Amino acid sequence: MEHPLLFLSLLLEALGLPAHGGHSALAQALAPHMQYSYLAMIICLVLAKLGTSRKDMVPRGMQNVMEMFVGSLEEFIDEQTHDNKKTMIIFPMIATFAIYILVGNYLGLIPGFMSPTANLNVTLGCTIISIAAYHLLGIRFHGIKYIKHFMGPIPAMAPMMFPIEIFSHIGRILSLSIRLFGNMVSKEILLGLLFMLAGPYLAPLPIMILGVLVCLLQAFIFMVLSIVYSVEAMAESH
Amino acid sequence: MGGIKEELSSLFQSFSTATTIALSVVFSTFAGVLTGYYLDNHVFKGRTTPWLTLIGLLFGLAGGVNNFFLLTKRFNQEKEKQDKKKGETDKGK
Repeated sequence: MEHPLLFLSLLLEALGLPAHGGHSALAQALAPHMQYSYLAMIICLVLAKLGTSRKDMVPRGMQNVMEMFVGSLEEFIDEQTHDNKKTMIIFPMIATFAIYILVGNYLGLIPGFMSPTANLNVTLGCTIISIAAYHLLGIRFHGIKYIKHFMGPIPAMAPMMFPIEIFSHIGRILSLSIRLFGNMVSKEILLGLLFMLAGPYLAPLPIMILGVLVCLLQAFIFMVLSIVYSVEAMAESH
Repeated sequence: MGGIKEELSSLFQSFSTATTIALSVVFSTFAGVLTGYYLDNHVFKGRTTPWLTLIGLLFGLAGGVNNFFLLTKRFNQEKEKQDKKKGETDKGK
């Protein structure tokens, strides 16, 4: 299959860098999904900078948008945790995931760009951070008693409940990462196929409209699930 | 008051609920079976062939059901809370 046309890859190739993947460390650090991941990070940083560079009492422009985003996100997490202290602990992680994944998803809708989230490595990385973070939070809030979360309600059933809980946690990792990856990559493949088969003008438009919705939805789901699992880890055991 | 926004957010919630619950059940079963299969064929070199896979399947299924109950409980609570809030604002009108 041909390479898709990617502007950043072309740019890097013109500079003489290995931009289409390979086996050396540099080539892997500059693979297409990494390039667009860096781009998404830069966009996030610029958004944050624009939002906080001039703090007026009456917000205008970018500051307004960022304040609305941060405020409504905090309210949303508060509804789930019922405790502002807990909210403040998980808020930075959740907000970072939300902005990064949202930006990453929407990058794929611009011609010549790809979604960094359409690569399993990126989504699996995000998922592992989220899963490790909530286990660490559980240990921080409950100490060694966190293991009771894995033991089920009756002590006699503990040897049976333990593997069950382990598998359910593995299932969470897989479902969280593969859903985001699958939705994004399916959108890209579908768009590519329609471009090739049905002509480049209006045929892919319905899929792109659907893509706009799916991007938002997937970022939202990733965020909600991270919140739900963190809250579950911080709550008292059954 | 913000009709379409509420509609959209409730649509999102139900979408996310449905896909999440289904996928977490499927993938924990999958994880169980794969672990059992790996133990059977690569750790014990086929001496225990069908049994560990079957046990893994059972544990994985149970893990899926566990995830199912956790998530349904969670989302039901939220739904009830939202309904209650909605009822109160309706009374306020």
